Amino acid sequence: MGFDDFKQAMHNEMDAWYASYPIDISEMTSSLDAQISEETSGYAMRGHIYDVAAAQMGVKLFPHCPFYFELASGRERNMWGMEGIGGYIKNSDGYQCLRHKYQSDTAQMWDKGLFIINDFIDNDHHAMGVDIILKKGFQGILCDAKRALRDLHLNDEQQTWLNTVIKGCLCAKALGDKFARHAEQLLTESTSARSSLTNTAIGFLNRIKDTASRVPWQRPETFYEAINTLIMARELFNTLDGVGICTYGRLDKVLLPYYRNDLKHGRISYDEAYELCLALVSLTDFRWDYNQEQVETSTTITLGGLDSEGEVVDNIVTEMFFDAVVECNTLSPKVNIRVSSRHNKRFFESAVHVSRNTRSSVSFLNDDAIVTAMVNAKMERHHALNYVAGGCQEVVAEGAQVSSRACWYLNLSRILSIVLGQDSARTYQTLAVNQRGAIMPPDLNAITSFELLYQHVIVTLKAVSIEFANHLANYQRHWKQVNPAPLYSATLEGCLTNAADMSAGGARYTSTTYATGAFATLVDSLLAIKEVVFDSKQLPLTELVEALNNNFDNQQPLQQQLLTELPYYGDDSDKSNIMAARLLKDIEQIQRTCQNFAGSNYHPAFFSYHTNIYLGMDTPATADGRPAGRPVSRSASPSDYKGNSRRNPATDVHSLKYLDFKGYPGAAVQYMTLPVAKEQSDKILTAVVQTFVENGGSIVELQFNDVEALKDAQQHPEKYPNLSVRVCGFSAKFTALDKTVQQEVIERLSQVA
Amino acid sequence: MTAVPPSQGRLFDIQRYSVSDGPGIRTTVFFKGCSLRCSWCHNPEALLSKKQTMHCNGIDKQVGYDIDGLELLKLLYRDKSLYQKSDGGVTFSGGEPMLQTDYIRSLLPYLKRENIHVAIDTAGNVPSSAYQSLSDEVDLFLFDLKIIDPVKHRQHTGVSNKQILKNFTQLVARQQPIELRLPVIKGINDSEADIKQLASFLLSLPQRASITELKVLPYHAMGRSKYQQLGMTTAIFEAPDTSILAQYQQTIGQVLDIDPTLASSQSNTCTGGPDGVR
Repeated sequence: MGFDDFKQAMHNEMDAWYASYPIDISEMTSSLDAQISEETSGYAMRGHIYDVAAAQMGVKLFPHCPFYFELASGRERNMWGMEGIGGYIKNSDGYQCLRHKYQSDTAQMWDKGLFIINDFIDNDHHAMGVDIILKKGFQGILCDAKRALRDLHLNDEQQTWLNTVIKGCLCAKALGDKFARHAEQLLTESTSARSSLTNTAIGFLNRIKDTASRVPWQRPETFYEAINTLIMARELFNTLDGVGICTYGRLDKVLLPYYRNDLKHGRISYDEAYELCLALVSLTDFRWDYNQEQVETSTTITLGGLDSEGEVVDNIVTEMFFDAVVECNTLSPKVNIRVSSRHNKRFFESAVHVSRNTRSSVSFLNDDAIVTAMVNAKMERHHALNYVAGGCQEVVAEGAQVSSRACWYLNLSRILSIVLGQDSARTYQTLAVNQRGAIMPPDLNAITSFELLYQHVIVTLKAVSIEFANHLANYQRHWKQVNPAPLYSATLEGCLTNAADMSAGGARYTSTTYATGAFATLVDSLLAIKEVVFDSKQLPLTELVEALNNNFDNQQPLQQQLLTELPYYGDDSDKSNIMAARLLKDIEQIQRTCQNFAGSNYHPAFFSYHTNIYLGMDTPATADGRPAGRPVSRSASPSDYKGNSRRNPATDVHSLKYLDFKGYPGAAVQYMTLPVAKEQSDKILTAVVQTFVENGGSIVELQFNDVEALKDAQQHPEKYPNLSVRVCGFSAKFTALDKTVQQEVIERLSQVA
Repeated sequence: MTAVPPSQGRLFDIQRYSVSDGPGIRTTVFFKGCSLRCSWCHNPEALLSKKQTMHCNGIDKQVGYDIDGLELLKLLYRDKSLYQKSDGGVTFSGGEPMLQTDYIRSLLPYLKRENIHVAIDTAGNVPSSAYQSLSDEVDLFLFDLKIIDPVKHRQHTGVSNKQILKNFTQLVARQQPIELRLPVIKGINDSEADIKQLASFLLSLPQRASITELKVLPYHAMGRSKYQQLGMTTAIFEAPDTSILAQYQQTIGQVLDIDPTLASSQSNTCTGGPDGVR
């Protein structure tokens, strides 16, 4: 028996089940409606959800899938924590009213294009406490909760929270029992003549029957049990707690001891273990439907890196997952490969090979920069060493940190627009009312030196950042009422000992970051203004701003000059490196001064997702030559739209020598778009990634596609049903992408083709 | 005591992260000035050694600039880490870099001191003494051979190939590592006779084992707009049929007993060229 024998059947069974969605959960919601009133606290509401799920929720087994996990919760196929029974609280009027008010308040305060905000809570991008779950099982967590109830001096809220955790653990046990009974039932039915179950399926069901009551209630003992524990735990949190957990964490680090132990006891062979890895990788892909519009990768895994003692993680399980990802060649999971200066060349080569040979999105995360930045942000080293990517590339210390991010995106280039008087009165009023921007909008004629302009940018960025953070914090304080996650929280260090939910700041670290982008657009615009207005005095600032306001109408030579003739971030010139380094430092210091609802300082970060396209739509022409409405630059990456040949991977990685990302514990993502050519060998790209690490980069994703194929796919989508692209930290089917996103991908690839 | 590189080199571009001009990741230095006038040339801005003006998108750009040796070295050193990790290095190309050997000679000790691999991409039409003066310190020659037939060569490149073949023969005889590069242009050198003549020439070289790489470079039209920008005219050329490319690869590969590479359109040698102008 091998994976190929059951892969297709597993896929078909899952597709058939999800095609039957949405599931009717009216019985469960009626039960909840009967128990919950406007006065019910968030924790109590969650407790009712656990009770109802334990009593009434069905489970689903796919006979040709070796794992058990799927719950008839009403959660949609392409959703993490929303909808269904787990989204009951989030979908209540209380939360939705607050959310709409927050969005409308924000729209009143700022012009479009400065921020994109989805929510005041980051319900996704979290990472479960894998070590605790594997070490204790939910039974052990329940015991800890009971112990805390007994030993700690607690107020009513804390007692309620701990009792809710206990209910959650019992729910996990009840659902495990249901899986075991369901497996038994299917096996009983298989003895009838009409059963279509294969021997493979019968084998899987027998194993599930014997395992599901024990695991994840108890700690897992085997490689198989450990994998299923992670899958089940994730589903429980996604389904019951309303949080989006998209990462399985550091699979190679945590699964190695189970594999070794199984080998020692003759319980598993390499092939059997590898088959489970293939099934897990495939599961993440089959669970999602990538043919729907704008669907991104569902699941993240993290491989490699350094362990909590600082030792290199590069083992047989790492290799298994590297091979499985390449063999499956699916859009999911995203693979985040942690690298460091301590990893050897072979590891880098293997990682690069994976990056070049899978459709999935692969990012390289530099431990040297990220761990140091986390430690610099006063996180303990062993916590920092255990970070994972909680989403595309949103780093978070697994099992210790709650990091809210990727729900509010900041467009740096709009800060300069504000300074140049390009925003409407509402922005200036917001800043003036709060006395943070006393000089708003500045008199352009009074900006007589570049230094003065730069100071205006910094003051404005600070004013905007603090104002936004304070406004956000006012809303985030409602988190524990509108979407607490006690079962999930109990896996995080700090929550049980503080008897507080992660949404109440109970975890060891509660951080917030700005998803900051358009760094290059801002750097390049400042470089351009310095050059043409102040150094060469080619034209006064007022005239330049007028040209920008007119979107370069009748000013094409000026626009061309700004686009192609001047220094820009990524060209590795002294001028651009100095400007980028200075700005990077100043942005870090500003973001660090912002505080979140838990009183913690923000963790500086650069991260764009694909909001650069949408933020750009509402951004006027910029002094780097970019016309109005076009995308701004991505994250901390050099601009993809400069249209000349001075930038390449060598200049990109060398520029990093001047930039200090050790003040960015939220990490800084860079994208490197490369032409598809056979000369881009594993060896060449290995050198690029190694030098990226050596020069202090934070995160990099390599992106390559044949631009001609993409153009053809726009015209003839029927010819390219499986053409995939790496967008920004995730992969997607090209033809399922929004046309605007398709065009952006083509434009940036055209720059290097 | 190594020579101080005081002199100025006349370049028209420097391309970092060049992955087609020799092994690994390289920085390719494009020298201005060439002793051939290939009718299909894709670097017309490289032909004359004097500085020129290109008119591009409404803006006049100067093509050609002089760079001090120390300044160039500083730039070449930037990607030392990439060279070392990818077994790459520096490639001097053009135009014809061998027309500026004094300048290159002054740079070599500094590059060797840093263990930087050096390749020279040459079309061969320079005095033999130029190669003799450099070859000990050059790790690899990327040698372009275009046409073996002397009459056709003169017709399409404006010069005799006698000196080119002599230099090539001498480098091979000295067992200098060589990557042989064969630009192939439809109607110019894509006949079976062209291939046969080249094969015969190579077979006549007893030490041809020093030719360690073979690259067949199909013509592409990426540099055509530059003629207009320079106020020059050019005839229309086409890429050769793929069957001819395969024949080139097979026949010449067999003669040299090496696995040939078909270069992509990114190659910067005589059929390609950088599109950036400083």
